[in-house]
Amino acid sequence: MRHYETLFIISPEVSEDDIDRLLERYVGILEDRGGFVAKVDKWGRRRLAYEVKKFRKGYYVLFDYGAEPPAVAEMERNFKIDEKVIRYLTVKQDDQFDLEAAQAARQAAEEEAARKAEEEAARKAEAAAAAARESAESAQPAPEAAPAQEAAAESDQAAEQTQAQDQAPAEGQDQADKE
Amino acid sequence: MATVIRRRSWGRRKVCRFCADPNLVIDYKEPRTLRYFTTERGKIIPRRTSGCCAKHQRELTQAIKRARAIALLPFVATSSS
Repeated sequence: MRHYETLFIISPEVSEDDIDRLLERYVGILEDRGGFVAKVDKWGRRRLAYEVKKFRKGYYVLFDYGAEPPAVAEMERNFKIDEKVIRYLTVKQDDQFDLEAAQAARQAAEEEAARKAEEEAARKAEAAAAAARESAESAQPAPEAAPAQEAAAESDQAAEQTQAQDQAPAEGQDQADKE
Repeated sequence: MATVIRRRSWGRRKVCRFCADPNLVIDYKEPRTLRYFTTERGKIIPRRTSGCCAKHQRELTQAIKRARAIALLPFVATSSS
């Protein structure tokens, strides 16, 4: 099994849902033929350096995988037929593909993603609870014990907000770079 | 001899940036690094100007050509873009 990397551009007119479906299909093509896709990296919409099939923008996706040459040939054959894929480039990284390491890495990445999603959900639930408490507060004057609790919840929320702000400019920068 | 004179007139021998900094990798997926080694018209800057060693210039050329193929770098850039 060889280690390949394929970078391809999907037409900017394809919707997010369709992109996901399309990626699933190509991952399927590889994996049905004994390949293993270690990473699917969606770069997102970027400006193209020159017009490709009359498009000035394109949705870049990077596949990092191990496969046999016929599997790659089959995928590229489908790329040629598929009008949504406007350009592709496959590069051989290595003659050997470390399947076990890739499997372990993908599992770790999935666990990490699950953990992050869980954290995100917990944070959202907390924020919602705080908001609910606040609205209850404004609707009717709270009993004596409530204000201290409220203040604590508010400071929590303020901390979260600053955190969110810290992240926001970095993301904005990223976006700008892509443009 | 001519080279000696020319070198003196330039003052300093350039060193290969990729040899000097091992953290700097040549990758066709990073157009920002590669762009430094192209002219504003999109041509690859020659070794005598960029100062790259032969090995890294070869890698660089390969990477720039790949980046062009996948529309990360232009084949020809006009002054407007």
